Amino acid sequence: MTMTTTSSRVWAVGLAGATCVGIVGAVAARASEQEAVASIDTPTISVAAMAPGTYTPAQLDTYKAQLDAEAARLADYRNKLERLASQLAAATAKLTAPPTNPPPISGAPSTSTTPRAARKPTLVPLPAPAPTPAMQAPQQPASGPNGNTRSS
Amino acid sequence: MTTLPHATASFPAMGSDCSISVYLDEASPGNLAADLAALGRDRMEMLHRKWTRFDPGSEVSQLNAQAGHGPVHLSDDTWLLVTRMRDSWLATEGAYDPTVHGTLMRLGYDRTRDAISWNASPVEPSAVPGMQHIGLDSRHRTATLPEGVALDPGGIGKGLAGDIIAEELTYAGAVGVLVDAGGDLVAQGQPGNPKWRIGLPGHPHHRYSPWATPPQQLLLPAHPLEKFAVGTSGLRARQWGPHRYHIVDPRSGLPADSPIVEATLIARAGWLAEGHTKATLIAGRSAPDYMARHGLHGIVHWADGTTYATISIEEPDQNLAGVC
Repeated sequence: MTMTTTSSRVWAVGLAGATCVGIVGAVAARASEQEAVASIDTPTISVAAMAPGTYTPAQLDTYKAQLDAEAARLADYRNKLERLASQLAAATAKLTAPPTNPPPISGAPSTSTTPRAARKPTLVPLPAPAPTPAMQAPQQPASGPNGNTRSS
Repeated sequence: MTTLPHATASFPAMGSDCSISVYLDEASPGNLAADLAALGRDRMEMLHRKWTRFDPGSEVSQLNAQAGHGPVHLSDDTWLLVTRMRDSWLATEGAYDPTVHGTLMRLGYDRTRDAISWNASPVEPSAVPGMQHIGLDSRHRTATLPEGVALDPGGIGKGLAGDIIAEELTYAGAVGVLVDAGGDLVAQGQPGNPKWRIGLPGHPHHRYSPWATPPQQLLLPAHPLEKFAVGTSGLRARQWGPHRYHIVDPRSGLPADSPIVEATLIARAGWLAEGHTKATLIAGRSAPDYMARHGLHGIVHWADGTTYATISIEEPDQNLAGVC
């Protein structure tokens, strides 16, 4: 998206949207005396109609820094998630690999890094349901005497 | 039943006690479950910072502050939140309405639950603007709030956070994820068991009495990748004065005057469960009709001590049949 802003002092605040992994960044762009152009990665909208005094330049800069920090944290989170997905896929592949490997196909990757949820899910055989009172799933137990649902 | 590598992270967020439990398949190293649960906590805290209305620097607070001053571009997460608010408003025929923010502020819910003080003064009705006045531009991902209108993420933020985290951790490879955002639960996949076990409180009126009814175990079928949510809303959970509750009926502009003290419903998504539990509570005596009309299953506790339930403790396999 390309957008131009006004010639006089204009405050523009925007949240930048993102890349193929859905990362969303945030930008606050401040332009003065010349036209500003926002790239496709930093869609920016004008809030020139904002009431004078609503935000000071310092407040806008603080807000921009805050949004940038959140965008960086989200990017870091996505990277860590991808890394863990790769580690999980590798661990599974290691344990389920056949004892003798066939000759590699030319050009084929040796290990898959596809997140497992993106592959076809494998249905594991389920045991017969136990009677209700004996059900002891290895999951989060009811939290305290009032259970794990609470009014909100 | 299979004991899978699993881990749970517990932490405060979104004004509640939260926890995230992650289950991996048998072949996975157990320490990765803890790493994934910790990542889920980080994600919840990110969403909290974006959506809290108690921090003037949050994205939602900034959006509210721009009411009457044109469109505001939103991050992906907050765009999703605002569109789910609209979807929930539509799904509940307007009974859920995030523009009750102003009414909540006037009622005194302008600070966190722990900081709010008891207020015995009479409650005056205050008009709720209505979600229909919020402009949403999907092409530019902007929201436009008319002057004087503000959004309250409230419970839908917790439900949606559960949806996001459960889906993202499943994408990373977890075979089972349970997100508990202050009592709003989202479960996805399997915990090494064909059923998720959800603890339900006894009747709220008996909760703190010596003859308290024991908590019930609600069992819900667990299938790979499938997700469901359990939402609970109650009038007594957040009360800071006579008739001062956090659930506002948008039609009256007053806190809900309902004979229901607590409602627990199952839905396919956390954000939807949250909207429907509020709408069911507001529906009052018509709650069974509302639930039937929307194909909802759950448990409603009436103030007179009786209970209306459409889910079965004894036959859990029936509990997700037809869940919307």
